Amino acid sequence: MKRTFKALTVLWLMAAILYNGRTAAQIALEPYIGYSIDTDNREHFSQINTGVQLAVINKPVYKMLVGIQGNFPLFPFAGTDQAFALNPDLPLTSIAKRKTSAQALSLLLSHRWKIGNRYKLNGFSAVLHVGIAEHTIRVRYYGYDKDHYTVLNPQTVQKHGGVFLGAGIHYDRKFYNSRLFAQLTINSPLLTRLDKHDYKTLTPLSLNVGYGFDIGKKKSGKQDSGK
Amino acid sequence: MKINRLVSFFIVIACSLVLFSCTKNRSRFLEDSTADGLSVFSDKGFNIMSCYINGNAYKTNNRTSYYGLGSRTDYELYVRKRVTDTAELLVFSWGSIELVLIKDTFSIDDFLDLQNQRIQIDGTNGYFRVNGEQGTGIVYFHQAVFIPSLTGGGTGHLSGLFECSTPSITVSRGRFDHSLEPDNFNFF
Repeated sequence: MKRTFKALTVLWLMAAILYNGRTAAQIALEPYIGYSIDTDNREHFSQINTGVQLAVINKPVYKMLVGIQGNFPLFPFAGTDQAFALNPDLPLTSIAKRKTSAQALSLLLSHRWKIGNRYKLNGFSAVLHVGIAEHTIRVRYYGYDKDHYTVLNPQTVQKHGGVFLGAGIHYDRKFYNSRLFAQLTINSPLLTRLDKHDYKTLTPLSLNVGYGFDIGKKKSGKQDSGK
Repeated sequence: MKINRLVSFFIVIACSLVLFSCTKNRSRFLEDSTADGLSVFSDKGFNIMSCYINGNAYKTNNRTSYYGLGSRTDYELYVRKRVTDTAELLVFSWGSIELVLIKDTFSIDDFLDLQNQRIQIDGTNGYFRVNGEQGTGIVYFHQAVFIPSLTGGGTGHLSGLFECSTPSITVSRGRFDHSLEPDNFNFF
């Protein structure tokens, strides 16, 4: 899965660069950072997001962006499970502490349409994206005698890959020759097969803030006059 | 002409039966991250027993149901009561590993009382048999439930942990989790 992901990342970025080279348009780079919370699992995994997106179609009204995003665990969810001992000299049960965290790696193809006056220095856009992602839920047990006790129904590490959709709203504001932006999005769960005992895949509600700047040559003088 | 039609009919029936025959794996192996090759200790009816035999991971065959020409199920565990001249035996059989409990009489209540019990198997109240060798050990029954139905069937659960040793074999970190059905729980 990791190899596939790396290969797809390279292909994704190459396609974006080639596409842009072909059209000789100005592109924009948008690094960002943010926070997301899982809305589906009862653990509500929270994560720090960081990513970068490249606007391969960069018009005042519409932008198409390709991007890569990593979600890193922020506050592991703490829980407990029961563990049992066979040794008659030990108490039958013990409590095993558990920390669960989730992380994700995503490739995104985003579409962004400006809402309202396209030439204003700041404004809102509607965002729709589709992507592929790999979600990993890690579990660690600690705080019990691992040699003598066995945890009942332990959670196990889960990895799932699949396609997802997302939607949201984007606000940007001109800042000297670049833009500051904030974006609120929610993604669907991954389209993948889950066992009934598994965690659900992440359904993150994300708030990201970032900085966008144009790179490359301009197509014409009127390009991007609205930003 | 009639014979040809009859032959065609039987061929169609045979092909349909072959096409619609299928098997279903009713066991689930979820690996324990703290014990390579063993399933987790569970009580969800995963229909599996796993352990280390002299340090080597061992797990029971999958519970498999066959549908089509005569449905049947191959079980990974059989629980049977046997009556001898001197006592009654309750035998838990996982292929080459068996746990035998010995009592004057075994009622269904005695089976249900096993739940949440940690029992030292010392050779008098029972024994383990591994590849034909008899030994002693310890077993913990996390679940021992069977609810008979009015129609003569019933369902139940059996899960727990065990360890044992015989003169030449050591079985460690054993864990089991099974659903019980009238075909693998022959108690009455």
